[in-house]
Amino acid sequence: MKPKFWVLAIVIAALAAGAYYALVPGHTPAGQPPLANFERAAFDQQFRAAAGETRLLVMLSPT
Amino acid sequence: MRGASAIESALEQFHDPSVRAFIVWEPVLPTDWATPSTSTLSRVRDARALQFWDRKRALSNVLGGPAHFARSAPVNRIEFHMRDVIWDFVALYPPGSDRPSFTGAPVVQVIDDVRNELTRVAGLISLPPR
Repeated sequence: MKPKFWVLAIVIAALAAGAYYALVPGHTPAGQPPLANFERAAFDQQFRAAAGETRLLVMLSPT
Repeated sequence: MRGASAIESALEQFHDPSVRAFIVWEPVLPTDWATPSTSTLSRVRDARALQFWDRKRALSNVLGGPAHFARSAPVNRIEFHMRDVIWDFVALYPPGSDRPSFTGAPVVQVIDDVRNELTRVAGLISLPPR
């Protein structure tokens, strides 16, 4: 096969891997709910539902 | 990332089930272009934690940004300039309160204050650090 084909195949594979890495969420540890995309209404509801508890709100960069 | 491990270590010392941790991951650094990986999420493995991915940094905006919210608590230890987004940040809300009693950043530097505030607010028994 031509080198051009392999270069193209590698580029496509790299893009696919990058897209997968970027878009597919990781798994939370056992016992936790799955990672949720932040939506204000749902977050507020969960935060208020825990109002009887001591709550920690932590905001972090993943890298 | 060290902030997440620090929060996990604090949670490990407080076994009371009436503590809940809301962990909100958000893109801040140029390297934050992907959703948090399993490895990243495993930094906070306590079952009392709920984890979120806030791709648009909406929570920071909702809270009013660093200038407004981050310093709103009676006790705050904000040790660095956050510019336009609240991050590497922890706030502690006592039971029944919609206002934090403590805010601090960066997390790893204020984690002892978080432990002290947990002890004060929750009246929980602290176990020695591992």
